[in-house]
Amino acid sequence: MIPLLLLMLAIPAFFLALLIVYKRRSAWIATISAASGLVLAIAVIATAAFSGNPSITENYGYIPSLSIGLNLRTSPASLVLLLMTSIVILVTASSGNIAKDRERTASILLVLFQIGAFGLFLSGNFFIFFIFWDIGVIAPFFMINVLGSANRRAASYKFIIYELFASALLLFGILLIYFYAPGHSLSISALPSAYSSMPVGIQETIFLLLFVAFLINVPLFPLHSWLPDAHTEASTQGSMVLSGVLTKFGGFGMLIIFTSMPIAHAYSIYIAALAAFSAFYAAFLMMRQQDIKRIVAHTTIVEMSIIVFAIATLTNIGATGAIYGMLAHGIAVAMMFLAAGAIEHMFHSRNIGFLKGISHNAKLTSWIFLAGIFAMTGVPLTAGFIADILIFLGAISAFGAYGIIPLFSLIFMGAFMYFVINKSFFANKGRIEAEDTVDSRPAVGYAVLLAALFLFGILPFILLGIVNLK
Amino acid sequence: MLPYASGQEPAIYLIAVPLLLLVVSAIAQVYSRSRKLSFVSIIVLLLISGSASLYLSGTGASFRFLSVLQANGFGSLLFGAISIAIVLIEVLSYGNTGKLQRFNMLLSFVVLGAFLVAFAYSIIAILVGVEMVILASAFMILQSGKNYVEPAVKLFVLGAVATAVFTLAMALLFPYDVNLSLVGALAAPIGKFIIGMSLVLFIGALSIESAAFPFNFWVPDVYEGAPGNITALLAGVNKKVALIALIEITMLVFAAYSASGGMPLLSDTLVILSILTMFFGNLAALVQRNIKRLFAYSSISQIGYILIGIAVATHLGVESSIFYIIAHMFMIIGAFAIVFWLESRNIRTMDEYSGLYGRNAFAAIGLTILMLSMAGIPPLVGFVGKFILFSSAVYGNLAFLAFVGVINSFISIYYYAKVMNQMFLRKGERHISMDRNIAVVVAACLVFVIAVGIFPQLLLGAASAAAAAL
Repeated sequence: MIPLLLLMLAIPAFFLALLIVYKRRSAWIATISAASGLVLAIAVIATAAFSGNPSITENYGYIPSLSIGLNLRTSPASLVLLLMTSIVILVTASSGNIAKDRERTASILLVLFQIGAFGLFLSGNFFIFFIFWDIGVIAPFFMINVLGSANRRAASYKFIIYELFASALLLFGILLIYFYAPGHSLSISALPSAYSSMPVGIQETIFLLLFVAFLINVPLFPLHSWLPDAHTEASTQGSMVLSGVLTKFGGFGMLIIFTSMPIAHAYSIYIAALAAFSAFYAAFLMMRQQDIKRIVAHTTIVEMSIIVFAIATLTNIGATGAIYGMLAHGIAVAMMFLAAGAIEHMFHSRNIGFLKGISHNAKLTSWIFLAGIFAMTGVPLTAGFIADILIFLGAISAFGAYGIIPLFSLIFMGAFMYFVINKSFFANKGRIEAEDTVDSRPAVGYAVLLAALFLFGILPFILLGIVNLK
Repeated sequence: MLPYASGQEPAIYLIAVPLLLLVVSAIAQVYSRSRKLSFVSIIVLLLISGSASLYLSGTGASFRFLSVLQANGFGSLLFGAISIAIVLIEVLSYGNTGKLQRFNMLLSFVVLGAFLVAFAYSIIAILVGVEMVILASAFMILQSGKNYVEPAVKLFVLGAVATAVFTLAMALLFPYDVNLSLVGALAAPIGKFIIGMSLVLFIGALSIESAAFPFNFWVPDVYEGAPGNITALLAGVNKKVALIALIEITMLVFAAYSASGGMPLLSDTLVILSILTMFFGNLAALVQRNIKRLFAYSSISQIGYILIGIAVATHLGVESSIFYIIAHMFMIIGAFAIVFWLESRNIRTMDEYSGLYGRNAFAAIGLTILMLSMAGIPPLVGFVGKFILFSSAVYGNLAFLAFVGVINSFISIYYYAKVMNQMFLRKGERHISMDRNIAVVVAACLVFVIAVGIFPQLLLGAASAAAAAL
């Protein structure tokens, strides 16, 4: 038996060591690391699908004196998110660094992030979860702080303060679980039974601590203000993984707490209301933005709010929709940030007041950006469509007709995006010319992401089959 | 505890004989001219003594010798760690222009003092050991040059005050424990008030030396005033010796007293000290512009974390304190090594640190990793230390103490991130090369921080055995 899950961590770790000692061909090494991640993810999913058992587990000794092991495990949600993560990271590694800016640093940080993201989705206990959570936060911090654009210092500062506040809450929640769970088990799969044996006050405390931690990461309304800055000022690669993968950490955590903590039933209606409000709030904020990356960053808040809304329906179909939504959003937003990066590289600006008629020079990028908006707003044949259908079916079954309300935030978002596309990309009035060209690398990235978006949109049963494995 | 029962007694000669040789040869070599001989002899003898000590802690042997000393897992593990730390200090000081032979003579007294404290069986041995460490380091500062009189006098006066308080505490205890021995004392605590007062005075005296909150006014001035290598010694070794003494006093001398109802006093005193120390250190560090002062306040706050484990006073609590004492020893020596080297290039303040990444990438990345470890970010050693410290607090029904600790490690992120932000600014100044001896020390500390962070069992098992030996 090949230890597939351990390999998913060991291979990037090997490439990370290689990148540190070998100073040349960094971008290639990162791409190979990401590609092997994708191959392994597909192998893991195939193993799960053929055996009909979505939870593959591997257990290794780690800290015996604290009875904490290196427990790796998959679940239907983590299988889908692993697939999404490996696709996004592959494209990020191969095409994200459009300007070939400091390739070695960028590659080291990306492979470090790959370890963090894979480890998080594979973690079988909360100790491992926390370790990889923080690795996944530290790597993007440097993607912003070192590789970012003009305003990067303030943005990275805000990012690390918010994210590490989240991880402080998470750590305290984990300590409480560790103490109150029978046998001091931090196991995620045993959480439902451990949780029910805790005192009610502690149950509430743990739920609220973890919920707020994940809320900051996702992010929802009152604690979202780090995201637009961080995603805008990061390098293109940084924006792609931040938006595509990092925000899914919180979504994955939300899935865990909502499915294994029955106390969530008492709060779900308020959380759904908060998520719906957050979606509208972000959609309206977006309409005041001038910076194209900032606009895309705000769509992340809208989409992730809708995903939390779907999780808060506490229905099976809603959770499936949330998982599918995270997949669709991760791929689509990575594509849009890649396109935004290409536009910035070509026109040396991100301001939609300045960008006019750019489809003349950047035809492919403009169309890709449009396809990204299609996927975001849930146009049929894209993966976003399947996600939206599932999410709102779940919402209707949980909240009745009120469940449809958040859909309007998607409509507002879409309307504004089409307006931007029309004025800045396709209108010919006051057209500007490109100052730089891009090579074929972004095109390869677009092809992979677009293929994934349509594959999972046209053939949804591939992933629904995995999600519904029981 | 049976004297001469374990068959490992000869190992003590491997510790004590090189140590005596070390002191004698260091005194003799003050009259020799060869720096190299002095350097090599101190390192070789320390390594023999340290590795014998680590070996002894692995065997779990426990016996008395020389009537005021005893060897057990606790003392031998900590003395082993301290001797390795002092080897690093010696390597660090090799490049110094001052007279190395004189420095080495004083350093050998520090080693001897640490030995007496770690292997103490009598309170007198602790008193002599602690004073030897403080006095020797005060003279070390004094002999570094004319500008160093002020910090040396401060440290000297402080040591004198601490001795006075310590002696008074001993005097109060004397009627009840004429042997002043650590084990078996106070089996029948009669006059509780007097014993309680003695306990508080002991804690007070040792807090002066370990710089817990109300008595820490001296730390920033002395650290800033002293040359960097001696600052590393003060932060890495002196304070740790005082903490080891504190553990011995509270866990052994007052064990019977605590068991017969004195526990609340002991615990409450340490809890209050710990909370105030953490908050004071972290809040004061927020506003520092001088990096040495920043690390001085940061190390004050780290003492607060260590006090958590002593306040909890369970097996896990003491284990986590031992773990964190050793972990912090290497983190702070690594950090002060970089600060020491930059100080010699006239780089002292936050503003002067800006762009360090461009000038010397190894220093910037090394300092970043050490700071992340101090802030408790996984997978570095500081995280494991904090995790077990906080979990011991939750176990000991002091969950609020764990919460305060978590909040404090979050606050500390703020100033560490500020330094990182400065270092990774792009300035394009000329490269500065790092002295080889400093690079060796930094690399050794980094290897420790990363290796023990990823494989914490390396140290946790030893710390657990050491705590059990008390």
